[in-house]
Amino acid sequence: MKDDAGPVDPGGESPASPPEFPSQSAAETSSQTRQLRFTGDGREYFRIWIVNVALTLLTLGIYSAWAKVRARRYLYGNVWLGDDAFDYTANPVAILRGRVVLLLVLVPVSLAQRVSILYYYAALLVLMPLVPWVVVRARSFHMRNSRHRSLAFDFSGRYWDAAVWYPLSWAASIVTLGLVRPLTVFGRDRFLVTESSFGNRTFGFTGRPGPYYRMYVITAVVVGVLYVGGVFFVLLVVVGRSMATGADPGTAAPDMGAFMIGTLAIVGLVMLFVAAYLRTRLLCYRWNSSRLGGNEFSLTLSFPTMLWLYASNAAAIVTTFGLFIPFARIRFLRYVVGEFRVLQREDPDAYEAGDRQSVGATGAEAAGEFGLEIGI
Amino acid sequence: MNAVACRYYDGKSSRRKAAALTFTDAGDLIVDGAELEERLVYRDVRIPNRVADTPRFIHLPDGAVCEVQDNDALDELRVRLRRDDPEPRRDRFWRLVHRLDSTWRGAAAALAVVATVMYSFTRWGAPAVASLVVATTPQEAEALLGQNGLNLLRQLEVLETSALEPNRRNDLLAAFEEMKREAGVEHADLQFYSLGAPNAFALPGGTVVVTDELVEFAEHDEEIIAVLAHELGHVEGRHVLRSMAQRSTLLALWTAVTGDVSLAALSVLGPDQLIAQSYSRDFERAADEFAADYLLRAGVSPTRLGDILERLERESGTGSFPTWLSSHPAAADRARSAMERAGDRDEPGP
Ligand SMILES: [Zn+2]
Repeated sequence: MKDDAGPVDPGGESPASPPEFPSQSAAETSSQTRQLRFTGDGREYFRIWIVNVALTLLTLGIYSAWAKVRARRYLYGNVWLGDDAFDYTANPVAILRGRVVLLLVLVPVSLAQRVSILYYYAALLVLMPLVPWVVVRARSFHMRNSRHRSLAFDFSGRYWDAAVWYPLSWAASIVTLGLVRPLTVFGRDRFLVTESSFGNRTFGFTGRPGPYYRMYVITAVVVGVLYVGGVFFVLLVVVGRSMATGADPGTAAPDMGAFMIGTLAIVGLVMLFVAAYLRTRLLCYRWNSSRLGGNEFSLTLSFPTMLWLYASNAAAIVTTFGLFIPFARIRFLRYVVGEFRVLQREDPDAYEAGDRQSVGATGAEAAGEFGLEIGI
Repeated sequence: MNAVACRYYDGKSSRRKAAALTFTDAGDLIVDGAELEERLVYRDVRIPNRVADTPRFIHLPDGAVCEVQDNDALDELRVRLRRDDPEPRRDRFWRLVHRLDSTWRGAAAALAVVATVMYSFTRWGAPAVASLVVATTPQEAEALLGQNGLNLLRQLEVLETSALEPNRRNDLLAAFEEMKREAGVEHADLQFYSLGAPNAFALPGGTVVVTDELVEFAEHDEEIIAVLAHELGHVEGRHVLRSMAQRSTLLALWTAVTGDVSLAALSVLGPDQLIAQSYSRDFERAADEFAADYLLRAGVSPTRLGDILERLERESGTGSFPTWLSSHPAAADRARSAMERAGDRDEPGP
């Protein structure tokens, strides 16, 4: 639930299994299923994107924060539930401040890496305690700046919960060789969803660990087959052939190049599968298990369609030197957003503002706000 | 028309009310409508800048929100009612941005800027940054990189133990040591392996690998010396490290621009080969020059390098590739330039 505010980030994290609507839904007469609509246009978004890139380059990166807000406002403003679009309200200055802080932290770390690998690991260890803080800040920044019908979303996760579901659960996954990974992803999803709110209503989560295990087992099997088959192929065909044709004296071993390309191809295939299957299923499952008051959500994405979207987008981005990126994003959102349904049992007029919003969040608090926006 | 239709939210609930907004001469914003209890007046309201034709949500000081969907009407109303007021600089800037990104002409101008900046950065920026990186990278770190690469090639049995006669090997090693001393290159070592094809290459950290097949392929020892000198040129310029640094600098820039590592990686995948090859042509030229200089000093004809390269190319059948597609300039070109070089030296030389 990276983006509860509707727009689903291309490449956002994700979950999966069949939606389980309680049987009562059929009986309910006042309920109404509504589909999200996405009205963004690739050409229009391309123009916004390329002007953003140009201004970012011309201002040596400073404009990037404004660019981000402008692009997001375009995407959010084209996601509709009924006749209401979403609104993105982040302050670019806060985002810029967040990026500067991030740079101030990351530059010394990468410099440490140049001095000695030991310093680098030491620096990473020192930064670990910051991870939960960053997760919580980034998420609440994102949610508080996402609005629908004038009401803001919010995220009220706390440091120690985030510490359990991020760094500590990573450690647990490593120690158990990944066996508890599905369980920790389940826990993380539950944490992210149940700490989220819209107005004064909190999201609920009905997911269970079982489906997570199923998704991860299927992924592990397929990825294993891809690796074994792929390595075999690379060794026999790619390296073998390049050796037979020989090469002239060069800067680096040309066979190394063939090997790298083969390895990249395998990694690419694995990433494609993980994105089209695992991340998609995780995303669907997380939404299908989420509730907001009496409202339920339903997101069903087909594996072949996602596979085609990811593969064709990647191919088009490679061959256009990146110029296809904005079109890729629009294609992706058109499908994903278009498949999103809300089973509405509550009066859309009846939501009230949350505490934070009614206090007036725009004032002094926002001045000290860091717009951290990292997806972990 | 003096007012624009809007949806009014009081900031406390999601209930919306149909209303209309307009501005006073002083620039205050007025919201009014039959569904509202009273006429509302707001001072110092910031109208969000326009993004394509998406709805604009005007956030009012008391937490209320006014949503306007008719962007043209809102802009027109502001312009008309502002008349005497100078337009704030911020609004003027965003109006310009909107003009740019709502027309193809503006997008084309932006594209031209991006292409120019990216080209300049590729040509001059990245090599400059790479020089800095190369200068600050410790020799040990670079050597580790080369060692890892070599170990991998050995584990995969791409490279197998050399079957060269010890005497032959020692002669070449001695020649290489002499070359290092003469050219003042400290960190370099020569290793022999069997690869199944004539080849020679330099790894980061200074290891030069020569294959048994190349030693056998050479028709004259001076040809091997010429190849070694060429590879030592790569070592001296730290070309492998430099090439890696240049390419990752480009990736870093594109990541900063797109804001996403995986999208950036995809974007540079296409041009990466072209860029790498253009960089590598520069490196080959530099290594050729290094070799030619050394060979002249050592009393060997620089045409030896061209000779063996040309034969290798004929053998492997890559000669038909246009120069810009191949990672090495065509051997014939190189033979020619080596010849010219030799000629240049001969005339004015002592
Ligand atoms: Zn070379």
